[in-house]
Amino acid sequence: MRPGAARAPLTASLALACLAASPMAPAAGWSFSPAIAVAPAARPGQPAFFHHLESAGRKNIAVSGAVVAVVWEDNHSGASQAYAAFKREQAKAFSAPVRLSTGKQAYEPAVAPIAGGQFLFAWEQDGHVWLRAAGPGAGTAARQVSQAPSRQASLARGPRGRMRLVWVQRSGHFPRVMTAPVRTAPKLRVGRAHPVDPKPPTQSQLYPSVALARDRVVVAWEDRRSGHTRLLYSAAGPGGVFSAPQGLNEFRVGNAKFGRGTGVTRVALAAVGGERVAATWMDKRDFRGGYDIYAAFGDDGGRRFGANEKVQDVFGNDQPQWHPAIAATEDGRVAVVWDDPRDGSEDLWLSWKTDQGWSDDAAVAPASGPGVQSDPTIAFDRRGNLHIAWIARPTPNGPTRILYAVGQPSP
Amino acid sequence: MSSSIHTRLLQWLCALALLVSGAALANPPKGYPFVSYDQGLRLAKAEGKPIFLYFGRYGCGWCAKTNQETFSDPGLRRLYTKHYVLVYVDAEGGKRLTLPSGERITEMELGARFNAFATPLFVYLKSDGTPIFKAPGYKTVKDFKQFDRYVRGGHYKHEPLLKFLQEQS
Repeated sequence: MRPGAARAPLTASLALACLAASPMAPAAGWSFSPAIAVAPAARPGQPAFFHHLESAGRKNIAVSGAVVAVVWEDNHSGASQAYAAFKREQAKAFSAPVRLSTGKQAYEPAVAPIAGGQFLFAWEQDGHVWLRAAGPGAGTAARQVSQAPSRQASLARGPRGRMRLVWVQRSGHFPRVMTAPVRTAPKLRVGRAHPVDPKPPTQSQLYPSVALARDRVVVAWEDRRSGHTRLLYSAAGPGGVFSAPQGLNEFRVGNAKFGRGTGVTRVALAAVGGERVAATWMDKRDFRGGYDIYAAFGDDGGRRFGANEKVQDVFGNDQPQWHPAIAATEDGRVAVVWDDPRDGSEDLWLSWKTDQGWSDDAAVAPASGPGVQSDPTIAFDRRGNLHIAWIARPTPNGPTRILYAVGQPSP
Repeated sequence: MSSSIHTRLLQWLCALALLVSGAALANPPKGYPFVSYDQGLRLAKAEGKPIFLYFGRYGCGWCAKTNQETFSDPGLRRLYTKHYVLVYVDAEGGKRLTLPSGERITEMELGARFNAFATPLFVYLKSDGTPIFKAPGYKTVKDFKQFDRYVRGGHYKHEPLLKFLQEQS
């Protein structure tokens, strides 16, 4: 029985019973640890402050060796700044937060693992993208990546320690997706930056995500050039030349007079191992239930993605889904997590790829119940455990906490 | 300079800034002095006006239909420009705004908190930012004029919107 099923409505339970009787092989579930705090929350009597787990591609957690890092923004100092905290595998608590940003304001920090308990961080600081490496011990100095106004940074690590940064940078009237390779040894160095699409933007390019397949780089982003938002992707081989952008999301041709698109947003990529790359995003092709969670796979290093797949199960169809994040392992595991209010409170829901498609949605037990549990971010470790962090608050605009749990596959 | 002139000037400067910035907004209707959510909260408090909050989306068909067929009405434009602080939010936008609590969030996150999963979504708020009611989907000039009577006439304090509309018809 899937985790969380006890909380599902009676109709859902009956339907689940029918599904359980079907010949489809049941997929394994997840057993999650109790939640622990990642960062201090405002104490009673203190001025309120707010944490945010938000970045392009929702890359706010990573595992490097036996160390987990979570990166976020909060305004406890009086201004929004980027922080990270670390936890060694056997430790019961996270380290004290380490401030990454060095300017007046910082937003949307992202993280990728380097190796040996070290991590690469990128964030927006005073209108520019910045970068630094850090771990539980020392880190490098923060450095500015771009002189032009820039934001929405995201990161990925690939085979043989390759690292890649993507972000959007003002180009004329519009933000444009840029990318650069990053070296972290012997010292932090950002390679030549270039636009993913060589054509000058004619509308906004937003919220890029990047994944590194065997010897290829795949970038996906929101693109408004067609008069509505489409998700585009492009891939580059070892030569570094990106292919012409292609559409990732399938869509109905809309009414040219009254708007052309049904709405897609916030794409996130993950490398699955070998040449396989997975994408997930919010998709409103069935707008009556709000956003749904969709996914697609590219099996040739991102040269071409296959058909769109609906990730969530039928019990989430009449509810809006928000904040999807994706993680994958080199041996082919893929998980997607998001929040939706199907059980009467905003909770985290998880689905993973099985031989038969996507699993039934499983409630993330420590992130379910009264209050609001939202904005999840996930990462696998080498043993296939799933590390998850999220925002918890008593009400939609109430004080925030960042919580963390780790899930183990259950038989 | 009086407070009223000052706030009006601020409104027009904001509208001008939005026009020249091009990509800052998705597609609000033309000719209306829409401002950002946090600017709108400040203006509403200063002027004692209710807020008309429009969640739109780039490429949204029903938003475009409402813009072209409804918001193009000169009488409606005069009515709403005079009596409301007009706020437009791109429900998929990444522009940041500050809530009265001091929390900084993106336009899309504001949409998530208002449950703006379908656009257009029109939300009427009191001058202190308290929501009065939400009206999703395409609306006509007549709809908006009835909503205006319901809000500015204070009927929302005594009866649900649907009952008010039935009495009007």
